[in-house]
Amino acid sequence: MRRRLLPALSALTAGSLLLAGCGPGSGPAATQVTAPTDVAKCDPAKSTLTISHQPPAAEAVAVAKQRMAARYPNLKINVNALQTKTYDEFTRAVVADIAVGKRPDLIISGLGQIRFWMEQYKPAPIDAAALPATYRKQFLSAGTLDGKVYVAPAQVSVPMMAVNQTLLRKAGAGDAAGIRTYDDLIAAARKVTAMTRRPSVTVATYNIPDWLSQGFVQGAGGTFVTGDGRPAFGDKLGGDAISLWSRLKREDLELGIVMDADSQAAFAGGTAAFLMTSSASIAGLQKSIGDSFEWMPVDLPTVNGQRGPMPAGGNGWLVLSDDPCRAAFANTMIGDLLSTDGVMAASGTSYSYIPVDSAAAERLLASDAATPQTKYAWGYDRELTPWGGWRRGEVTGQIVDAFRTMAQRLQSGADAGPTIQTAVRAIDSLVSG
Amino acid sequence: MRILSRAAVIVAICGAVAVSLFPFYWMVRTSVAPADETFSQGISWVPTRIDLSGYGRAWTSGELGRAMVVGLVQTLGILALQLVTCVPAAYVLAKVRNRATGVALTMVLVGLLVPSQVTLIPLFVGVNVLGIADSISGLILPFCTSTFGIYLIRQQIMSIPDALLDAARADGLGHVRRLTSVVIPIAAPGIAAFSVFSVFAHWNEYLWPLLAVRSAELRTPPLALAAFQQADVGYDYPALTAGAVIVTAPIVVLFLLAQRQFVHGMSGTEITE
Repeated sequence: MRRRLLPALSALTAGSLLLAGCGPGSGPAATQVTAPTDVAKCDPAKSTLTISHQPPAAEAVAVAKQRMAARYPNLKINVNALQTKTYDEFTRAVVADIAVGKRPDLIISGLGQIRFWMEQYKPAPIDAAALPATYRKQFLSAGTLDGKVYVAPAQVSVPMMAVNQTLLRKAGAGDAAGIRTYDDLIAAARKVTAMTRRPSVTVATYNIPDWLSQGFVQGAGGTFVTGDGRPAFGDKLGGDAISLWSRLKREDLELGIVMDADSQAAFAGGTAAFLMTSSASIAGLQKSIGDSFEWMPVDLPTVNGQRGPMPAGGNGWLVLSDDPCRAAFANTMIGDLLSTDGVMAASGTSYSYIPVDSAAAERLLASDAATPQTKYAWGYDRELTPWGGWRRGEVTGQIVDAFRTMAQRLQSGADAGPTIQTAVRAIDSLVSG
Repeated sequence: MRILSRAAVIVAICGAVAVSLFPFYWMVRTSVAPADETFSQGISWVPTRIDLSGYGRAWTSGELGRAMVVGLVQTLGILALQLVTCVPAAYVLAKVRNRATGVALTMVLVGLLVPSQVTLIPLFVGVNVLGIADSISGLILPFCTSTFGIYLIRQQIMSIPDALLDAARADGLGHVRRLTSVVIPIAAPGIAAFSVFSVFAHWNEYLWPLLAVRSAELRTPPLALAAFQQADVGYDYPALTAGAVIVTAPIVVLFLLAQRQFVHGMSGTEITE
């Protein structure tokens, strides 16, 4: 008994150790997508559609799933509702699924990650003609790359500035709507800071430094990325636009907060009078602020007062199917996701995304949930550009890191010129391979 | 002088307790405060009014009830398997001395140095090959043993005098009986301490469930709380903190129940021959 038991216990030990530390090798490689076929030629009973999405899209997916079930009762739809907090986390999870052969047919993609998906996983272009007639086609530019629409924007946002109007009034710093330039902002911030005796502006540097930088440059009428995906913000206008962080720091007007959530908290708590963030956060800010003070979202101020096109943030739907029929069903489902009901679910009333459907926008603006703050997002109707647009999608994460480093150095008072040029060189080297 | 030094010690301990408990107090305070008081200027120790709507949102939108059942099954399943694998392994490594166990012990020590993130992708591929991804088995099986558990329990078993086990063997007890009748009762504090560690770690684990789970029905408590921490739309702090209170409560109760064993296990108790 003892002789048999010892090897058994030893084997158990060895097995435990192996299970604790080891695992099998890598999964299958990514395959190229085939173009969708005519959906009428496909048998729904022979297809299973798999959708992966993040929490804010859950309501729209429920609407679309119901409509698809009514249209194709025999089509099975699997929904992977990933509980990720950021688009980066979501992308990693979907990439992991693809690596083990579980490629979803339809995913939500951050609008800043289109190049990554296009280059790495070759999605089929969206059938833009199949989108509902009320879909606001001007937003398709945010999902277009090399002339093809790969992503149908769904929950869209723009960089904006939230202003504590109550504090401005108390400090005699004028009106939020009057702040068009950096000089206007700095003049108002000086007055608020003089009254509160602490920095009054917060422009976080960790989560969306590339997107905000793009907003600063394009808002001033500058070029952020060249047509062939290289950095173009190294010129004088770009440098002046991005140097906002260091200008604010020089005058001790910026709070130095790095995380966007903390930045929003500083604004909601009344510590910061000026917050630069995404218009998607308006609904959340409204809930947090309540009636504590009067505030307004306004366009980002720019270095020269111009109002150039903002980069579109948020997300959109992308077809990843490697099967023509599933791709066709996925395209049909995008039509349902972006129907008026789908967009109503995706954009309001608990969210403040810019509605991509004109009928939904009208309904939201006429609803009881429309406030002066949410109207900024729900009524946004200006031109948008794609987020980023860098060459070599596989270095997207490293490019964001380069912007993060640049923004945090500027935020801590580094000299703007050399810091921005260092970022330009680093990004150019990344995209040049 | 002695009274003064005692008072200083008591003040220091009270200060440490206050610092440790403050985050919990603030979590509870935020969970019951109206949303517009979450970040109000200055420190308001007590909310102006009690607003429990965050608990409602956490329970309904976050589906915390279901998540906690999943978390319980996952955590207890992992613990049961870890005890089944770690205790015998620890016994062998502590009391069976030969070249194989020496090598195995070295592997355990090396395993302790490997960060869990390093094994994440191989494990993910593994559970997919086995067809247990997005299942409760996929949440449990990758953690069916623990090098930390083996090492901690081994150290506890090492303190049992060999003479005691020799006496048990002289009485005709085999390895299994020695393990169950002699070793486990004596090593119970160490096993309890490891159990508390294991339950804490897996109840709070975010990364593996995030990677392994796709179905809403299999969300664990940390995944359920992620619904209130969306970088894109901002955080719902009252619901997030309310959810954190609900999710933390069982762990606090467990710790209070197992506190004595935990401290005993961590401090180690020598048995003299």
